[in-house]
Amino acid sequence: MSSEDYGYDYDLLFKIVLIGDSGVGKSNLLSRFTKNEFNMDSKSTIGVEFATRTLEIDGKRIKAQIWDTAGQERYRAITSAYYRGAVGALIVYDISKSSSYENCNHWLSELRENADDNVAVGLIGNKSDLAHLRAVPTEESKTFAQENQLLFTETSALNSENVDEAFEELINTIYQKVSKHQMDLGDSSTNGNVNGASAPNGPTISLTPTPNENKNGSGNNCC
Amino acid sequence: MDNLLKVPEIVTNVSSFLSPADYLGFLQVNKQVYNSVIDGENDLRYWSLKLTRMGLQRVNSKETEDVKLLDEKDDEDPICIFEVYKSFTTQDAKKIFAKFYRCYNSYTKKLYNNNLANFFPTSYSKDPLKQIKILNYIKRYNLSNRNDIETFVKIDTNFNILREIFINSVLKEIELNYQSNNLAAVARFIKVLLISNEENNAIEFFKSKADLPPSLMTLPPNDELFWKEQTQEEESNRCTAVFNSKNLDAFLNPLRDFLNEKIKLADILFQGEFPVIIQFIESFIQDVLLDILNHILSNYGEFLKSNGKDCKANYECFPELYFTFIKRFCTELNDSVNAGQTFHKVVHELLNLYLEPFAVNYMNQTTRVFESLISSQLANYDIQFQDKEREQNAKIYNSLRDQTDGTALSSNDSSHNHSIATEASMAVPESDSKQKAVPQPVRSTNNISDDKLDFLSSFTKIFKFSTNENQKLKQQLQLAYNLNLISNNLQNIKSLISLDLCYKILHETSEKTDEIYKFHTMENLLPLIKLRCQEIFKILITQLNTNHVKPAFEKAIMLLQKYNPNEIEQIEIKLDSLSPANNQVEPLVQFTELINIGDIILQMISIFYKNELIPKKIIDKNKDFLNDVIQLKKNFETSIDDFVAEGLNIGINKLMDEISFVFKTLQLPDDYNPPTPSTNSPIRDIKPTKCAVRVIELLSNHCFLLTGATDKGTIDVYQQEIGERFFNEIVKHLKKSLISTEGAIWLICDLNYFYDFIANKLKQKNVVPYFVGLKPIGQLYIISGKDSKELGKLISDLGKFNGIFTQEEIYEFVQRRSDWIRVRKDVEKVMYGLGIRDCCIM
Repeated sequence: MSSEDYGYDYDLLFKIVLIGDSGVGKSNLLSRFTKNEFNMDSKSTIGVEFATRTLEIDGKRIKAQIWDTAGQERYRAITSAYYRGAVGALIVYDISKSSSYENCNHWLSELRENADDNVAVGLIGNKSDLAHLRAVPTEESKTFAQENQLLFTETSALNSENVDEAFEELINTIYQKVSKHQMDLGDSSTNGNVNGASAPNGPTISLTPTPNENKNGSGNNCC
Repeated sequence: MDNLLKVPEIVTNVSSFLSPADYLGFLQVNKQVYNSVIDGENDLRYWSLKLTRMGLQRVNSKETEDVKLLDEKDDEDPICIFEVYKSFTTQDAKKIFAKFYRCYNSYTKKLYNNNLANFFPTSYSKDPLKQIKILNYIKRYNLSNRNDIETFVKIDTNFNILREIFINSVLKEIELNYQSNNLAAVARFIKVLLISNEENNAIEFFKSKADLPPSLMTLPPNDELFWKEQTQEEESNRCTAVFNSKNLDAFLNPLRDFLNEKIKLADILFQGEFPVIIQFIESFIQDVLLDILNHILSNYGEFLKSNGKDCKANYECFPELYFTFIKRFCTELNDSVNAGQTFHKVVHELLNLYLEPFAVNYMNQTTRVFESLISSQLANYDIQFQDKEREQNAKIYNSLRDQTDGTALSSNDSSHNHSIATEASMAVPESDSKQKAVPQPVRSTNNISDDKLDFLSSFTKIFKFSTNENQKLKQQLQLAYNLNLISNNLQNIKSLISLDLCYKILHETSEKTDEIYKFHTMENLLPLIKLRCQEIFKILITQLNTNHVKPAFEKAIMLLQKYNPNEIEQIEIKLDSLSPANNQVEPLVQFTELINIGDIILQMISIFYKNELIPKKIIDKNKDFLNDVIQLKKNFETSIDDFVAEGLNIGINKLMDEISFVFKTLQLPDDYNPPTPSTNSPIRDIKPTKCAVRVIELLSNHCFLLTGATDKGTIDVYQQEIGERFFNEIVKHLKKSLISTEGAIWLICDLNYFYDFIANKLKQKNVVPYFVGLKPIGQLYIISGKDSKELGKLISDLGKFNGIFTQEEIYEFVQRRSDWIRVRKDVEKVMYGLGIRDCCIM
């Protein structure tokens, strides 16, 4: 393992999970956001996949490490491993498939159960290009989002509509939370559940404020 | 005596032998005789017989159109009476005979009396044409006298004498007139000859006036007639012409002009009367052209011999000569009135008739010539290849020695240098070129294994004499030399087969086939032509296979087998150019180039077969499927396929060795089992490990080598085999790794990376499920140790549903968890259920 395996190219690293029913377009949302690609015949994800994209907010380079899940895990132990340490989540449904919207409740509760309480969550109604097949009214979703304090965007991975915006909004929200709570940017050993598995040894964000964040943050990332 | 005349049979019998005058006199002997003859059919028969002997037809009725009505007033003209009266009725026989009698009796009388002076009346004396016609008719008229044999014979004898005198005088006239260039008169007299059925005399005369001037028969000297041997540079785009066409034409054109003159002469003298020119040309072919042909053939033999070539290849000049002959002595001949419309066709047939035996000889000779041409080219290439290799070996040695210069080695041991250089140059013992052809590759095979042995022995020696620094350096140099040799030879694999040479040989085969096939206008030769063309094709395949492709593949496979990248990487002294390229199993790369070349050769042969042999009907695909040509072609294809399969198999083995080596050396223990993080350690990106990247790089570099080089079936088998074996390597590797919950993310990343390559790059559907099956294996490790019970459930389910791995294998995998000892109990409880010992009283 050489030094290039370690990230020196960012100031903050946010772990974000993509959840939602199988087939709602999570992988394409991810590839649109990270690689600006769309694959019409993409196969369903097996297990979990990863991708990253670095954004700049307030002069800080923020690396979003996004976990794309299969959406059909049968084992709580595995989903719980995926959620471990996540500071953000996007619950994705398909606007043309009401069952995928109805399941959002389930995804939300699973998220609440496994992730940190302060996790930032966005609700994404994907496939907005299929307006003629719409099965979920925008207003209804908006209401649901407001009730559960979720961000809400309708996107189309196919034609790129709102994709970057949705991710950026979520990352911004996380960043705001981090700043507000004066986040600990360094060692997170105080809360194994949040940081333990996924990002074991880096400036992963913990939503639980710790007093020494500034020192650790600059210390780790600049040298 | 009188009584005799009373017997009608005797009277009629006697009368039938009498000449007309005697017959008529006999009738006057007495009334009884007169009546006995004249009353019956006898008189009619007498006259009818006379006419039929002269060739007139007896008919029964006057109504037949052919019968000229008897006209008493008709003038009897001896020139045309035979044309007027061609048939008769019995009743008119006497009167018609009387007409003939009046025409010719005076002549026969003169002949009978041998009174030949002033034979023809003055009106004919200046007209030999009329004279000969009358003579012909006299002979015919005389046939009517055959009942009176004595008269007939006497007249006939004298007639022949007269005729001979006449013909001789005609010939004399012809000669005199020809000499005074009065060709019209000559033509007239020739017509006389032809009318008198004296064609032979006419032809003889023509031939006597058409003797070939001897100067035209002098062949140009060989050096002017034939092209000199081509130099090597010219060879690549050499023209295949044997003859210096300018000089050949200078020789042949006067002969053609001579023939054209004679065609003109024959037209003047013979017009369309008698095709003398055909006879003349036939004897010209027999006497002149065949003679020339034989001379040229033997001269060419000598020419070849004097240029150090095979003199038994002399018939190689025949095709060119044949077509030049056809052009000069048929196509370029003027039209002939004498020979008529079919003149050129007839001459062509005559030429074919007389040249056919030469064509047969040519065809029998040329297959052997072709075979030695092909085999010598292949042998030459092999010699050049060996020379090059030897040169490179010497270069390698020198270069390596330079690298070690300044050390003790080079300064005080020059004999060593000498010994290696000598060894290199002695690698190919001198022998004459013929012997080199076949055994060469075998010998190079030995070289490699010798190198290998040398390497091993010097390798052993290093340890034995390691105390002696100088000795050690010397041994190291030897070792380096041997290893670099192996590496260099690998790079030569693709040069083992020369595509250029194969292309050239195919081109020559095509030319040779065309050359032979050009004779297909000689229909008699068609079966032989087909046979010879098939032989040429067989020679092509056999030579290419035995003397080029087969040894090349054998050597390549042997090199593949010997290849060990780690040995080469480990040598201390090496040439930069020879170090194996990163991320490539060099021999496999080289070998696929060989496959590519082999495939191109097969395709070229197939194209040649389809475009040349099938359209020319040299081989009938439907009829000749058992033909040995097709069998040979198939065998060649099969043999290349076998080599490809064998080579790829070895290549895949080497690739897997390499992958296994990368797994062993590049996959660090920390990769999947990172140390406990400290506040100061930077975070690791979630991306495939260096080892995985390198492994996929290796695969990428080898999986697609065959694309475009061979058929899809072979590529599929090759890629699937790599995919499956790669999967097994991963499994082996996983079973040796230790994976922590924290490190699992990188394992999943690697497995995703492998899957991505197989599913999206390799795209071999049969193999994808294996890599799908690996993904859940990654999940076995990410599960927190706290969830050990659910882990056990997952293992049970995976064993049931995964389909790729058995329960036992999955159990093996889970044991690679770094916290296995802690979770084991829980897992096993779930997997195997609760035992009695696990029961406890609540």
